[in-house]
Amino acid sequence: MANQLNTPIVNWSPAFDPAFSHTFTFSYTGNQAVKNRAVIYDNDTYENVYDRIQEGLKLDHVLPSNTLASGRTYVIQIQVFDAAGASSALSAPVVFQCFTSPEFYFSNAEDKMVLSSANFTVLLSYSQTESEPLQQFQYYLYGQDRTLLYSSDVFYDGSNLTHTIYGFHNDSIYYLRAVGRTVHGMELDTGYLQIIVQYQIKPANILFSAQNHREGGYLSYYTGIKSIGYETQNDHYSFAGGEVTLWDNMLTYNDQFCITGDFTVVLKARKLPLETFFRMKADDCPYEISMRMLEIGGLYYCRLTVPYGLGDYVFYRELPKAELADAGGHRLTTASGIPISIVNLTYNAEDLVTFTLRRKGGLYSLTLSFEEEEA
Amino acid sequence: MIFLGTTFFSGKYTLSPLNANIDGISQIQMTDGTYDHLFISANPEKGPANIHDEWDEHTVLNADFNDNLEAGNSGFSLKNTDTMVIKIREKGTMDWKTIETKRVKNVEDFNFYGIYRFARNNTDYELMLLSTIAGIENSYVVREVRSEFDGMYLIGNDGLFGTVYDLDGCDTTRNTTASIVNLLNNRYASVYSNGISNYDSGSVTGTFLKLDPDSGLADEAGGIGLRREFIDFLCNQKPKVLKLFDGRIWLVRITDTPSDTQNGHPDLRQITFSWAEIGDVNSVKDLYQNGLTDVTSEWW
Repeated sequence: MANQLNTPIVNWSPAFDPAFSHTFTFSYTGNQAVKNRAVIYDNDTYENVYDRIQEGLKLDHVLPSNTLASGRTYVIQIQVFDAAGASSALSAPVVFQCFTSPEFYFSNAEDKMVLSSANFTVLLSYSQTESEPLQQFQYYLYGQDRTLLYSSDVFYDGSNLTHTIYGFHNDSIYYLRAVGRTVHGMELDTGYLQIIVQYQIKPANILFSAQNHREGGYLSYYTGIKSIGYETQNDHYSFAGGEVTLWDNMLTYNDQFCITGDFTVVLKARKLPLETFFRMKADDCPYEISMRMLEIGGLYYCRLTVPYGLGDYVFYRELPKAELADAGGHRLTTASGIPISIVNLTYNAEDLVTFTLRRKGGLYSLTLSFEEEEA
Repeated sequence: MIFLGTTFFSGKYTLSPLNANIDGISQIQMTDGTYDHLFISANPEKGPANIHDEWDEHTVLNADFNDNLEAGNSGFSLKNTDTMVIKIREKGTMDWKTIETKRVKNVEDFNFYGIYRFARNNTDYELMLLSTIAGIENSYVVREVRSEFDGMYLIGNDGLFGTVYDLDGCDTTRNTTASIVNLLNNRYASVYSNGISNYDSGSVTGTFLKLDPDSGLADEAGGIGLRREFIDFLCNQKPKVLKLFDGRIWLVRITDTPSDTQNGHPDLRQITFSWAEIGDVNSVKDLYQNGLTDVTSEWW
């Protein structure tokens, strides 16, 4: 039969996974093509692996799934036929590759994950069975309505698949996505991963006041933030269980505050040595208010010293006594109702003692109370 | 017995020396030991039950020794804050709006005072003070406040005027574009909208008086100056926010010419002005573009 139709031109096809059907497109001008024939050869063995005719008016040929094998290079040629039976010549051969679909996903993120910080370092994972290299990739961040908020640069280094995205707002929903391409043009897409951002920003205990002004029709607010300065003699201190332990050291708070007039000091402490452990001083004043632990006659006391011009006021407060209680937590008492207590003949000091020092109207008071350590 | 103002040492404490009053205490020292909490307040009524209370104006220092030695307002420091942000939202809603930002370079910058003029009447608001560094939020504190006012307020970036006297109902009109076309072959009309206009407009009438703050009586001379300033304000061609006692609020420009008319007495003058809505009063972007807020785009 004479070749009367123009020769079609097969469009370049990126690499694809032969486990799925694939559509080859071609361009052609001339009489309406009603069917086309595709011939595929293995580029290495020149073996004819596919030769079929498909009917249709569209300028494409659908290769069924599982026709070819992964990791191979092939050549395709196409010819067209019109309704009268005329045909074209086979097109120029076009080379294409088949590869197994790569694995391309976020290894440290999953759909609907909760992110608890304002930034996130994403980690991409890429692998391909036939070792097809990754050519380029890019990260995208979308808002709740899938509008694009951020796109990274295009990266070409397949050995570094991490990227940090900053600026996540609390109580917000984002979508994370990465796209890429292999060396032979396979398109990669992680899809949209929903990220729910909920990070625990620390509620601050500060002076922040808001007020309504009815006569002016506005709201006012003011802040009173204090940053207290402090210093230590050395680094002999450690933190554990919400406590700080000092050894051969002194902690001094000495900036951004000044106590005048009445005050209350509440100090919770344990394992105090038998010496002065607490001082309150004024600048340019030789006197100080102090507390120290001491043992007198086998009993343990806290001594508060408050100077006046001619000497010192001294208060002694006995360390709190442990009281006995039954299994139900009810205090045991004598027949006359006096609680039975254990005198502190030793000072193991594993339990917290709360020292409450007050100055009110110029008069001082010291109270010691006892707090059991929580199990 | 008290004779000539003295008890001759017969009182219980008359031989006691005077109390010392070491004032201006500015150093607190603690030596070896294990400390769980240090709390100091200028209120002598506080006690151990108050050490976890919120910071108030009497609190001097409060150290919980929870992995640090900080004794000031926890969470806000020069180490973790370069900008303080104030946000607001109506209680029960989700979206916060930024109303003020302040760069922090030294400790004094942490203390500031601000006002928010665009709160609706009879509405509960939550205000949040937030510390951020490099755009990342860290510590915050939230306070609730109820906005209440009377009358009408018109707020611009260069002034605020209001009145509670003889206000009319501030009737409004919702303006949209719609054209009615009668077709020859249809009993019913066809309506077409060739635009997306959808805004409110209206007019406000109120009596503007100036009252003497001492006597509470009308200040006639002051009232003339007040009304003239108000009309100058209306005619300055700048965007404003109009809010009413019934909770309505709009971002507006004044349209038409304001009028100043007598209301039954020579000293009672009513001013009437018309307005049209020019943006979304709840949008920080619209407020910024109309010069009513300084909050820039990175905080929207």
